[in-house]
Amino acid sequence: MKKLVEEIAKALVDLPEQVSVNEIESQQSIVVELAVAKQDLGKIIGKKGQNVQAIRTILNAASGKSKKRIILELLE
Amino acid sequence: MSKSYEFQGKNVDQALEKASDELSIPAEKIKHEVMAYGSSGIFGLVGVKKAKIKVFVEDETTKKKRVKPEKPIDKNGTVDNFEVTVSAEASLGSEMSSKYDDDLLGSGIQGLQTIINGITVGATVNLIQKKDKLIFTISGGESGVLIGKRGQTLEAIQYLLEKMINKKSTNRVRILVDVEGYLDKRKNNLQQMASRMAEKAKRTKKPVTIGQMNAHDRRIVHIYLKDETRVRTQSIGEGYYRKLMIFPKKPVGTNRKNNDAKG
Repeated sequence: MKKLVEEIAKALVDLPEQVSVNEIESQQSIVVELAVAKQDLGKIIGKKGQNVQAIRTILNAASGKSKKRIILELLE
Repeated sequence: MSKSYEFQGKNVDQALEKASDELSIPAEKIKHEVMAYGSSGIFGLVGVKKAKIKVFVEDETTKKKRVKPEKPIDKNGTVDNFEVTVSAEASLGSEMSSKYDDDLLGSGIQGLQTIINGITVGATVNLIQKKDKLIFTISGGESGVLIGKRGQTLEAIQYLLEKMINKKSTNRVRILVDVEGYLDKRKNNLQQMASRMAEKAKRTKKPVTIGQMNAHDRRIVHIYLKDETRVRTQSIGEGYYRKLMIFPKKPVGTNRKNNDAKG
């Protein structure tokens, strides 16, 4: 999961080296925390949140495997 | 020296076939230059362009060996490697498929593979290059999960992949992601539904609404019903609430006001 988010994020931003992903797993859910350079935040979010929405959709599809909800958090 | 002839066809292959018939040279030995790839237009309706090739006939038939066979960009999607051989004479043409460089295609395939690997196991990606877009086809794995409810996962994948590719590319690249013929299936379903709804509109003489569709789906319906003379279609509303309406056309002579009492 971590790798998936990281790959997508890196492909979207200008400064891929500043992308960092942290995963916190609990019983029912996995929280994926994504941090990017400040200037790249908009690129991850996208116009009207379209990009981040697409990432979340993909994560939801990916969550089928682990049977846990996946929550994507963007850290500012 | 060589003479040149021009041939046209629906696509490059057909033009080649025509050329080989008329000149009685086997198609694979024809030395040609593609002038226009042609396009089937939008679902074969709008903007159909013919492919045009220029064929060179050399006097000494022995020289034919030098001719490289041009790799056809075929519709069946059997080209799975993404290197398109550009022969010397082909590079003279104005619009070439080589405008996609291999790095870009490689990273695109890799990116898509990473995404689908996160979702399901055992799925593979193939790439078809067309003149104006790249078509990625995914096969194997759990296709249902990849498509998602109403194709929303597939849409998200396509959206992100387009962003990822265009980030690297200088000119805009259009892409399409398909999972085992899903796009065709959906198009068929939509067209069936569209004709059913058009029938209903005609029968009841009231407008029929189809809600919850994305722009691409609506477009399919609009185009499909374009030639239907007794109804007209229109999209109404904004964003998520945008709906497609099918209006029955009034017979000529009555006033044009629509009574949309029922949605």
